This record gives sequence, structure tokens and C-alpha cells, in this order.
Amino acid sequence: MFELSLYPPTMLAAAGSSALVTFCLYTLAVFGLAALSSRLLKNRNFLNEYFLGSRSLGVWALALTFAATSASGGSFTGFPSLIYTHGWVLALWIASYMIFPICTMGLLGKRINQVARKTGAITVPDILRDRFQSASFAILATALLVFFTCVNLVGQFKAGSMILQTLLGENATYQALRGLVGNFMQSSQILAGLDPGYFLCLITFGVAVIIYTTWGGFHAVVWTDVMQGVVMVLGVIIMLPLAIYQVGGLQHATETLAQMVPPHRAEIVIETHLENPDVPKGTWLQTADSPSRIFRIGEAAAFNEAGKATVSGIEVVDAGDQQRIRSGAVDVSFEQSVTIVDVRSSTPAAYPGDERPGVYVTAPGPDANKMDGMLPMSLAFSMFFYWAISGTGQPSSMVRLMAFKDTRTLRISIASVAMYFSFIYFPLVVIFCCSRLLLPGMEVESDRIMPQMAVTLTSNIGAGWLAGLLVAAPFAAVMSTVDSFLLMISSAVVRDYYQRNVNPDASQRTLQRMSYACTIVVGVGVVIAALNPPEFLQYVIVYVGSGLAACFLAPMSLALYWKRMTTSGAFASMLGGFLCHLSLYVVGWYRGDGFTKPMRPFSLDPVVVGIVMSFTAGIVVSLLTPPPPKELIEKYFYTRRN
Amino acid sequence: MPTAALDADPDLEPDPLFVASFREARWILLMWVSCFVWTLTVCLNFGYPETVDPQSFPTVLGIPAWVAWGIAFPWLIANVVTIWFCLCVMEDADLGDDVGAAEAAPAADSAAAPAAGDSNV
Repeated sequence: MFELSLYPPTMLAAAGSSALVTFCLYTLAVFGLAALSSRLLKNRNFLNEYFLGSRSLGVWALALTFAATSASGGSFTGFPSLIYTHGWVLALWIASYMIFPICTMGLLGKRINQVARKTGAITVPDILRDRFQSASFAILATALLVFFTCVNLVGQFKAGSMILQTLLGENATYQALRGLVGNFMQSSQILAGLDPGYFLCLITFGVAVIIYTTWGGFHAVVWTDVMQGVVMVLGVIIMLPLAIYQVGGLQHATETLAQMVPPHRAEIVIETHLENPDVPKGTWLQTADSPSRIFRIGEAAAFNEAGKATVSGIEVVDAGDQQRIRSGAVDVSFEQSVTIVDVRSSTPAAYPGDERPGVYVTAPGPDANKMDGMLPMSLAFSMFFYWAISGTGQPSSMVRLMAFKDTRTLRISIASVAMYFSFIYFPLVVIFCCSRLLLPGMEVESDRIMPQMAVTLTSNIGAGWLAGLLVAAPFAAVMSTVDSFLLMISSAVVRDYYQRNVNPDASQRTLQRMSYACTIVVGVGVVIAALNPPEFLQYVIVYVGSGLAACFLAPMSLALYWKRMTTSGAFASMLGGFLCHLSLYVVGWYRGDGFTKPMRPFSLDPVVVGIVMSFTAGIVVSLLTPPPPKELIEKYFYTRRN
Repeated sequence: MPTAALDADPDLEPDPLFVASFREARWILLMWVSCFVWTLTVCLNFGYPETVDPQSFPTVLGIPAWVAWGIAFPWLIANVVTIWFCLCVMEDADLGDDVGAAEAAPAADSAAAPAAGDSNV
């Protein structure tokens, strides 16, 4: 077994260099794919090719673009962070991915593709407009789609910038550029308050994505998705054996986890006699008594004139972690120039309040703030519903289902995606349960666990260069989601609003210019919005994902499978889902719980309630209104006998 | 009711792809329900113990036993069933012609033909 270690700055710098090389190669490849796909735009119907790839996706393209778009940055940043913090219970949290591919691709796949071909539909609102013969309904769908997707994009751009920052880390070139940008920003009133590293990475990420998406359209997005999908699964497949080997086997890891107790949240007063002290977030400190108490601070210390500062962080109270740290089994360096003068508080996690062992290997999992743990039984029920069922209602998935070339492609792609996700999600749970043994104290910056684990695993086997590939996986995940969403917004505006409502006779050249301009304008707008993203953005992203499902799943399912569905029923279904879902968040806000804790009737998540309301409203209102015209039912549900 | 009239029309038959898709969708929902019942039954019964003895915590191949039987095992079964369903049960069908593709523009500045369905609105 390798010696467990936190990596020194030299390793971080080496990893940053390899990440920079990886990023440059990766970006070059992406632009190459965009150039190739832009050639396909010639001599074809522009909108059909630009937004839907002329419905020509084959097996691997469909499988990997679907998988890569579904796996957003959260799969490689937020999810590993949750596993590290809460343990094996995350396997239950993500369990419905066992049935995710067949549900999300199989329930609507064939039918949505057939209807899209029959009507010439290029976008989701296109299908709804033709099925319900209502321009107003299409505009409502377009408005909701653009609203939700733009909000989501702001979060994804923020995640992209933060991942890029982590990738480049201590790289000298990046640090020099960061300094230059910082100096420039100081002279600007608008940019003065921003972090130059975040700003630089946001602009770099944004420019790269906007250019290749605008240039290449749907095919560029799909081809880069294929490449990104391969990078993601390779990253996981390489990390899994390394992690298991380096913790001495999975059995040993689970047995050790079974004895662990979560750290305390702590607030300490520290003191230093240095003139310009720099005590960053993540610094390790210990008290002078014997045995010492071990702390890791969760924020940069701001010292007063007397050389004292009050900082929050964690206290490592697990006996195993303490022993590993003191014995040098993990390479933790304590800051010697800073002393702890007072421990103001050291509070156990809200669950389990009594510090009993076993919480990392059982449900509901430890939680610093929630008394009923990370995943109480009622939430486990909602999560199983959430991934597989609400995933079916995501318009970005529907667009991909409109683009495959034949039903054989769909069948084999579903089987491939099922295997693909099995190689991603369950292994991630194993890898990051192991990470608790390799990297103690990461609760203070758990969002960085993925890149730090990659650096640790590769450095321990003397292959730091490999970190570049591993840390590219989360970056690829964000990029593949962002490009798809960007194109979806552009298509909604150009096709669903401009061509269908403003200028139906627009020339191909006009539509082409509009599409390019729209993709650029939306991309730039989102970059500007992401300069100052709200702090609770992750919760906004959750709201967006579930909101889209509450709005689109029932209207689309009923449109495709229920002859009796009427235009009024479609309005009721979409608005009912949207308003019900929104109102649960508003009530949570009104009760003083903020945007992070929506009201949960009967302990059910808002997405479950929203989808049930959407189906109910659609069915009831349809039954109360006159049936659709005979010609329409015949067009969608019947064929002429030969 | 238009549906009854359409069903009675001898020149018409229900769209075969619609019929097959609807049948497959019901099987898929049944698969989801089966996974849901299995996973939650096992995990809610064995994954939420009041106390844990770390010295004798049950595992299967290093995975906590409740995760192995409640999640990993059904995940494996779900994959097998998904692959079988896709390769052996789902029917291939003609998706029809793409109306949009027929609108290919020979010249870059020619006016685009209205998309199918525009006349409906």
C-alpha cells in the first residue's frame, strides 16, 4: 500500500502544468471538430443541420452525446463532494441511475423522433406547437425553456470557471496571467471587486465554448460530447483501481469508514507575530496541549492589529484520522507560526448528535446541519423518482431524441448508455468513499475533492502527468452540458420565436446570421451574468432541473401518447406544473427558510408534487374541454392502410 | 368522439409505431416500479439501522451489505434486463420521412419554405 499523502506545492504545480497542456490540447481538438462540422452546414437546410444535425446521429454519437449532456459538472464536482461528506448513503441517493437510460431514452424516444420527422420539428416547442395547433402555447414553452436554461447556464459557467481555476492551480503561467488581469481589474470600477482568477477562467471558458458552439452548431456539440464522454469514463476507470489499491482494498476502506465519526464544526481564535501573515483557507493548526486538538480552517484568516483572528473551520475528532495525522501516515503540515489561543466552539454534526460510529456506511448519512441526516427515508423516495422520471422531462434530452437516424440506433444506444452510467456513477461512490482515508479534513473545501484526489492518486504512483487527463473529466462534463444548452436557447429564439412568429419567410442566410448572432449574444450575456452569480446558485440549478421536468414532462408525454389531450389541457398541464413547483419554493422562502428549503408536502420533493400536479391538470382540463379535431388525431395516431 | 369514428374507418389503422411505443413505455414503467420497490424495500429495511457495530459490520466484496443487495445487485440486473429489452423486445420501425430535410436550400439566400405544420397555426 502506498503511503497516504497530501501533495506538496511542487506536485500541485506539476499537476497544474499537465492540466494546462491537457486543456490546450483539448481546446485545439474541440476547435478542430467545430471546423469539421461547420463544413457540413453547406448545401443542407441550415436550421435542420445547425440545430439538429439533420437527424443523422448514429449509435455512438447518440449514446455519448446523451450521456455527456446528462452528466453535468455536478457529476464530477458536487457529487464527489457529497460522497466525501456523507459516505455510502450517496449510493442510495443516485440509485435510480440503474434505470435512468431506459426511462429517459426509451419512454419517449421513438415516438418523439417520429412526430418530429412527421412535422419537420426542430425544437421541443416546435413539436408542441404543431401537436396543439397553438402559437401561444409554443411561445409559453419557449419562454419557460429560455428562462430555465439561461439560469442554469449561469451556474454551469460559474462551475466551468471554478474547475478551470482548480485545474490550473499553481501553474506559473496561469499565476502570471492572473496577476496581470488583477492589475487591469484594479483600474476598472466595474471589475474591481472580482477575483482575477475567477474572471480569467470565466472569460477563457466562455470564449472557447461560445466560439466552437457558434461555429459548428449541433454536430460540433455532438462530436465534442463524444470526446468529452470518452474523457469522463476514462477518468473514472483509471481512478477506481488506483483508489482501491491505495487504501489497502475496499474491505479495509469500508471497515475503517464504519469506525469514523464526522468532524466538529469549530470556531477558534488564532494569533501570530508575523508582520504580514498569510493564513489561507485549508491551513492545519493544532493546540499546544498534549494530546493536541487538530483543526483545519475553512476561511482565510483576517488578522486585527493585535495579530489575532477568529476563524471557522473543523476539528478532527475521529480517533483514526487523528492517529493517521499524528503518525505521518497522511502528510499533514501544521502551520507553526500561528497559535490557537481559544477554542470558542466545537459542535458535533447535527446528525448524528451523539457521535456514534457507522454513519458513513449507513443511511441517512451524517449531516452538519440537518437533524434527520443527509437522506431521510422520505427523501430517498423522492430521489428515486427525481433522477429517472424527471430526467425524462428534460428538453435537452428530448432534443437529442429527435436527432437519431433510426430505431436500431436508439435501441443500441440505450444499452450502451446503461453500461456507460454503470461505469461512472457507482465507481464514483467507491472512489470518493476511499478518498476519506486518503484526504482527511476536506470538509472545508469539499468541492475540490475531485481534482485533489486525481492529483493524490497519480502522484502516489509517480505519474503526475496523468492528473491532467483525470482532472479534464469534470471540465469535459461542464463543457458538454453548456454547449448543448447554449444551442437549445439559440434554437428556441431563432426557430420558435423569430421564424415561426416574426418572419416565416426569412432566407437561409438571414436565419444563419440570426443563429450565429443569437448564440454569441446569449453566451456573452450569460458570461456577464456569471461575473457575479448569486451564492445560492447550486440550489437555483436544482430548482431549474426540477422546474423543467414539472413544466415539460406531462405536456410532452400526453401529447405523444394520449389522443384526448387538448390545447387547454396542455396549457393547464404546463402552467400547473410550473406554478405548483414555483409556489412550493415561494412558500419555503416566505417561511424564512430561503431558497434552499422549499416546502415539502408529505415530505415529497417539489418535483414529485409538480409533476403529479402537471399530469392531473392536463388530464382533468382535457376531459372538460372539447376533444381535438379529427384530422389532428388522425395525423398523429393513425395511418392509412396500404 | 373523433377517436371512435377513426377506429371505425376501414381505411385507417392505429399507427404501428405509436402502438409499439406505448406498449414498450408500459414495460419500461413496470421496470422502473420493480427497481423502485426492490431498492427501497431493501435499503429502507437494512440501510437505516439504529446502531452499528463497527467490528461486525456486514459487507459483500467490501461494499456495505445493504448497498450490495439493495443497489449494486439490482443495478446489475437492471443492466441485463435493459440490454435484453433493447436488443430483443423493442421493435424496429420506420420513423418516416423527415419533412425538414426536404426543405434543403439550394442557394444560401433563397427563402426557406415554411416548415410543415406552420399552416396549422
